[in-house]
Amino acid sequence: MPKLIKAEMWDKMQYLFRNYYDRMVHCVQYYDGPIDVKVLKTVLVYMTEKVPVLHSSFHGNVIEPYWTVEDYTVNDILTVRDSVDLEGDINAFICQCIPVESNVQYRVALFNKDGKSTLCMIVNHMCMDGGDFKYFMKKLAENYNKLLDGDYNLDIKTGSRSYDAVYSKLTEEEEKYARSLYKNISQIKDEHYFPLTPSSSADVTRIVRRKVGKQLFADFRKIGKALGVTVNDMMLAFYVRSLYEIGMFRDDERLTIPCMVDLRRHIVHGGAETGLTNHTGFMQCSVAQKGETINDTLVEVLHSVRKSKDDPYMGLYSLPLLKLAYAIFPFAISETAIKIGYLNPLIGMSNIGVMDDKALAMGDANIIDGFMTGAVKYKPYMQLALTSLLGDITMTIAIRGSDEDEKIVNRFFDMIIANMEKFVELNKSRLE
Amino acid sequence: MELKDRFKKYLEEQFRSIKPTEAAKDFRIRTLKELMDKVQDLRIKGIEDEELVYNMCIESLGNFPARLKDFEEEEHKVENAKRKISLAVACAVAVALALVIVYVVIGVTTGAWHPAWLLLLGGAFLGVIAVACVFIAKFGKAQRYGLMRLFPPVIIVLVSVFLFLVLNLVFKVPNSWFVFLAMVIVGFVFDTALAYATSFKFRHIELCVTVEIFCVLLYVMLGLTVADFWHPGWILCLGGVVCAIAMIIALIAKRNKESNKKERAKIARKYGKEDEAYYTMWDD
Repeated sequence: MPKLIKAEMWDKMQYLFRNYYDRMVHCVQYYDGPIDVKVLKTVLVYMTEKVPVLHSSFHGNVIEPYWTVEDYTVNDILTVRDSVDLEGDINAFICQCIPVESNVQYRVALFNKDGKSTLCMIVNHMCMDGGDFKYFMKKLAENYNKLLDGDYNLDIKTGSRSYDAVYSKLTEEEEKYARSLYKNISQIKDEHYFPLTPSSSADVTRIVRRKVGKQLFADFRKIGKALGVTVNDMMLAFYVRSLYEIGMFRDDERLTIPCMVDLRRHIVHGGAETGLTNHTGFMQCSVAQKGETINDTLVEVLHSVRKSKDDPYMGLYSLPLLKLAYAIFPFAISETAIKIGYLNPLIGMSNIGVMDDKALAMGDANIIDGFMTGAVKYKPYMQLALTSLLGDITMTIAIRGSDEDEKIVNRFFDMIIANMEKFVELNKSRLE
Repeated sequence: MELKDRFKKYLEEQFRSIKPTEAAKDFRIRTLKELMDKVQDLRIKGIEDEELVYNMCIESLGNFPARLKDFEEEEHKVENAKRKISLAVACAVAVALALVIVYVVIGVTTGAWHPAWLLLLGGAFLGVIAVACVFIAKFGKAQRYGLMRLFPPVIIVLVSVFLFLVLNLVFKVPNSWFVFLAMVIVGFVFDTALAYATSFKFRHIELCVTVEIFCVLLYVMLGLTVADFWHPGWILCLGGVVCAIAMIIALIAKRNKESNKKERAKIARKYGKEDEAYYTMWDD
């Protein structure tokens, strides 16, 4: 009798998102030394065994979907190869998609070149989001280091994957209120779209990325500190302004883009005791106008995000509505009903945050570069993902598109960087 | 002194003019945040001078003493509303009790338990009608007309049921069930009136439907009461259809006239622009 696992609300929601993106979360980590394959294999098997959903196949049953725990070998998960064309191999690996029916829901590749290793991983978004992916990678490194040191006390969190952990930090009264937030925030219509080419047979998965540069990042971070604004606020301002430019939107048009927020802020101990899952909501950043300068755009962004930041229930809206839909209808009907009511944002932003270089070191091999990014969006959807590592930010846009689309995305990155430079130039007095 | 401390001092002075309530404390804290946000905005926009920033932030509050006064009045309103709700609940309980007492007294003294129970039913209906009226007023004020229009039919149905029971059980009026036919007419007429009052998009179509329903139900009522009315009384139904068609034709004609007018204005504007371009165009 196969062992079954209940499909949680976010598993079902991420399954629904197959209509908008490829459901994969991606990570690439470059090291300055080799990674021990034998130790890595042991750690991977340990972590996979502890988290059954990682070696399960998903069944979209019309009444109630579920996971079936499957047999696997480490070779289903890990690929190790000496690489000649490292970037080519990385791209080929991260651009693949794991079917939900697969016996494992994540894959790892280790490419060795010139005595250095590069660790790549893709995982089904239904199993975890960016927040837990960061945790997973940290635990992978931590457990690897423990094994190298002969310490066999490996660990990984194995708690509940239920969505309602997000209410655990609230008081009884707050929880009651939060559970009544039925407002559908996806219904805020914004018809602005990123100017990609029409869909064609030439479209392939592409993860286009660009680094901001350490000096530029340090400069605008310093200015931000002097002005009391976060890196996220500034990145939103650069992003929004560049969208006005590339989309040729009128300067006085309202532009609303959702920014992903980690709901673990509402969970006891920041979700350290829950299972690996999704706990992501979003806040709307709605700017009334482009503003004359980049500083004016930043003020517009702040006007919007302050409202969300002051809201103690940020990101918790719509969850009760989703829960209700999945509770009262069979899965097939609830999915159709949600699809009708849910408007997937055309443009989004996800700041995955800081990748801790010290925590990601694997033995003597230190991380020298890397990034994480979300799912590959299908046209016309698009999302900018950000990760920072070793004092630099990597911007990534994962799309299914043509060569022309890649050029457009690269031009967009140029615009973002130009806006960063303008911001530094305009506020250089704050650098002194 | 830092800007934040100066704002705190200013607000502490200002808030002494109103009652020291919990809500006032929250408002004071909110206002400080509002001021600090404004400071951030001004600094990002490039204003460095502390004194100027302070003055501009205080100015951004507008007439703050007046705002405080409004806040206090609003608080009173909330308190009054709470009091009103408590009073309404107490009144409802009192009326319910009074009705039960009257019912028991009538029952015990005259033995007329039936149809005196109508008093209790009437009281319950009255309660529901009162609540429905409150919702009508509330949604009407908020201009949520779709929701507002859900409640009048509830009232009409309750009134009709009660009227039917009184006519049938107390006064033994024959054909008292005609009330239900009249109920449909009244419901449609009232809703159509509301549709026009609130400029509902499909009000003209609703009027056509109402006219036809009115004619059909009138035909049924007259057919049942007036001898030999069924034929040629059916002309009444046909009259309703003719009326509806005539209204639709009139409506389409009016729409066409309006769109022609708009089109003409658009063309005139276009030519006006082109003429202007023609007269102001030069070779150099």
